[in-house]
Amino acid sequence: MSPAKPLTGPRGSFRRALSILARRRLARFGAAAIAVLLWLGTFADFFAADLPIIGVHHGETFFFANVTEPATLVVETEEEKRTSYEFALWPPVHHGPYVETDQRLKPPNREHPFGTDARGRDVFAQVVHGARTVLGLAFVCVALLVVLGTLAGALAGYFGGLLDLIVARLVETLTAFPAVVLVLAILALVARPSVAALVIALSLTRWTEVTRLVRAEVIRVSTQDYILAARALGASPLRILARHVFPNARAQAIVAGTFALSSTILVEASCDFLGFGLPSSAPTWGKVMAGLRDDGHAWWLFAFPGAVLFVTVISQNLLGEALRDALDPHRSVAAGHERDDDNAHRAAAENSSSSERESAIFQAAPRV
Amino acid sequence: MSSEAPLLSVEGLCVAFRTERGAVRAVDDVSFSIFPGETLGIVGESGCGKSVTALSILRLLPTPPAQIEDGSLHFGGRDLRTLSERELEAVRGDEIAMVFQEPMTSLNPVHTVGAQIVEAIRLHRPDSRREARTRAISLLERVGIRDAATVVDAFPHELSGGMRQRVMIAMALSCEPKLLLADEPTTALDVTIQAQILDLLQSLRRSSHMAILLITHDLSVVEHHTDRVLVMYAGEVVESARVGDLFRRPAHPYTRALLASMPRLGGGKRRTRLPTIEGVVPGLGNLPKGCRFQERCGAVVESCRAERIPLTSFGTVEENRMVRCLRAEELAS
Repeated sequence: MSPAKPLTGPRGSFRRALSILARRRLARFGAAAIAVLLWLGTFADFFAADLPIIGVHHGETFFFANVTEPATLVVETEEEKRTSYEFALWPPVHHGPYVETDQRLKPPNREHPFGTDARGRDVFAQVVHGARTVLGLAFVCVALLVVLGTLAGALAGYFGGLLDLIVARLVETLTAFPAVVLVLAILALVARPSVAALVIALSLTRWTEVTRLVRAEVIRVSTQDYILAARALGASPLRILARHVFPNARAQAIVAGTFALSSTILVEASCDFLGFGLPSSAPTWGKVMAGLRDDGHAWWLFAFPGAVLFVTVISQNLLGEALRDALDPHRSVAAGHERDDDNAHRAAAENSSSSERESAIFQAAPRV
Repeated sequence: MSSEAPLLSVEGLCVAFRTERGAVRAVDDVSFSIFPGETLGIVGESGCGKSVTALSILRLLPTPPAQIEDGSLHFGGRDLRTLSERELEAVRGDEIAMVFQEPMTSLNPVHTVGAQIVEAIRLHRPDSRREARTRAISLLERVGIRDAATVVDAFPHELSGGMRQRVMIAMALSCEPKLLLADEPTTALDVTIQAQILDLLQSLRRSSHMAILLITHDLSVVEHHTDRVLVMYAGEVVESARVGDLFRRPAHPYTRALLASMPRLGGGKRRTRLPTIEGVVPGLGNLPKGCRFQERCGAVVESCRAERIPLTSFGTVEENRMVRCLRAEELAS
C-alpha cells in the first residue's frame, strides 16, 4: 500500500470512505468516466448542435443560438446552413439529434463522426444528447427507488412482524422476474405510455435491491447495544429509527443506489431497444441501437452507443464496488490494522487518567 | 433511612422467556426496595437474573420473547408495569436512567458524544440546542473528563473505554434521575478505571441524592460501593442483607462459598489454592425440585430437596436480613 495521509472519521463514515475511494485506481477511473458523461450530457449542445454557439447572421449577432434556438436561424438545407453566417463558432459536430438529412445510414465520416441512422440523423449528436436523457432518467428513477426502497426496508426491518413478512415476500417475488418483463407488465397496466409511467415502472422493478440491503442492515443495527441505550434514555421508536438506526444503514442505501443506477440504465436501454421504452422523441442510446434491427450492416448504430453504455455501466459498478468496500468495515483495506490501533489507544489512555485526555486528541493516528 | 418511603419497590417480580422448550423463568419472585440516596447491590453469577431484573424495571426487555408474568414495580407512587409505552418513555432517562456493561458498543458510532448527550437532555428538557450543548460540556466535566470542550465533539471511536463509560454516565445523569440502574458498569474496564468509575458514581450519588442499583458479579465492588446487597442465584434472591452484616456473617451457603472464593490481600496462609464452588448453575429449563443450590451445597440434607425453600428472616430484627436456606441459623452459628 502506498504511503498515504491518515484516515480519519469513524469506521463506515463518508469522509473516511472518500479517502479510501480516492486511492483506488479503478474507483477513480469510474468516477472520472461518470463525471465526463455527466459533463457531456449537461453540455450536449456544445458538442453537437445544428446552430452555432456564436453566430453573426445578416448582421445580427446571436449568442448560444445552439441552446436558445431562435426562430430566425432555423434553415432548411445544409447548404444554407453553411453559407448564411458571416461569422460562426460551431460545436465540433454541426448536427443536432433531431434534424433529419438525406445523408441516410452513412458510416462514420468527417461530417458525422459516428455515422448517421436510417433517417439521416447524426449518431454522435444522439449519443451526447442521449447521455442527458439516459442519465437524467436514471437519476430520477434512482432517487425515487432509493427513497421507496429505504423506507420499505427500514420500516420492515425495524418493526418486523406482518409488515416485514409482506415486504420480504414482495421483494422475493419481484426479484424472481427479469426486470424488462416487469417493466413491460407495469407499462401494460397504464392506458397511454408516458415518461412518468416509465420512470415509475423502472423504479418499481429496481427498489428491491435497496430494500433487501437496508432491511438486513436495519435488523443488524437494531440489536446493537446503543439502540437499547437509546431506549433506556426514553427515545421513541420512530426517533430511534430515524436518528440511531437509519444513519447506520445509510451506507447500504447509497451503495445499493449506485448499483441501481447502472442497472436502471441497462433496463431502460433494453426497453428502448425492444421498442417500448421512452415514449418521446428524446434521443436515447437504446433507440439508436434499435436501428440495428432494420439495418443489420450498420455496425456504427450499435458500436458507439453500445460502447458508451458499456463504459457507463462498468464505471458505475466499479464505483459502487469501491464504495461498498470503503463503507464496509469488514472488507475495508484499513480495517485489519484499526483494531490494533484501538487497543493501543485504550491501553495508553487507561494507564493513567491524565492520558485519557490525550486519546481524545490522538485521533489522527495513521491507520494504514 | 428506613423511615423514608422507598423510591422503588419491587414485589414478587417474575420474568419468563418463551423458548422452543416452553417458558423459562429467568427471574422468579424477586422483591426488594431501594430508598433515596442509597446504593443497592445485586450480586450473582452470570445468568442468575441480575440484568433481566434491571431491564424489567424499565420494561426494556423485548416482548416477546420476554414477559413480566407477575409482580409489581412501584416507583414514586406509580406501578411501572401498568404504564403505557408513551408514559414509560417519559420515565426512562428522566427519572430512572441506566448505564450498561459495554461502553464500547453502547454509544452510537455515527454521532459525536456531544450530539448524543444533547439528545438525552432534549428528550426530557425544553432546552435549546445551544443550552443543551453547554450543559453537555458541564456534564462531561462533572464525570471527570478534562478538556470536555474538545471531547464533546469527539466520535465514540476516538475515546477509550473508560472515557466512553464516563460519557455513558454523563448521558444517564443528564436529566438528574432519582434512580440510576448500573448494569455491570465496570466489567468491561481495566481495574484502575473500575475504581475511578465506581468512586465517581458514589460521589455523584452523594452530591445529587440519587439512588443506585449496582449490578455486579464482583464481590469486592459490592463490599466497597454498596449499602445493601441482594445475592441472586438461578433467578431467585437467596440472601439480602446490609453489606457489613453480609460480609461479617454470611447466611446462605452460596454467599459463604462466594466469600470464600474471594482473593484477599494480606492475612491468611500463603500458597493455598483459592476455594472454588464445584459444579455449575442449574439450567433454568430444568431446575431441581427444592433448593436450587442443592447440587453444589456442602450442607445439603434431605429436606432441601423436598420443596421450594421460602425466603425467611435471619438474625436480629434491626439487621433486617432475609435468607433462602432451611439451615441458615444452624450453619451460621
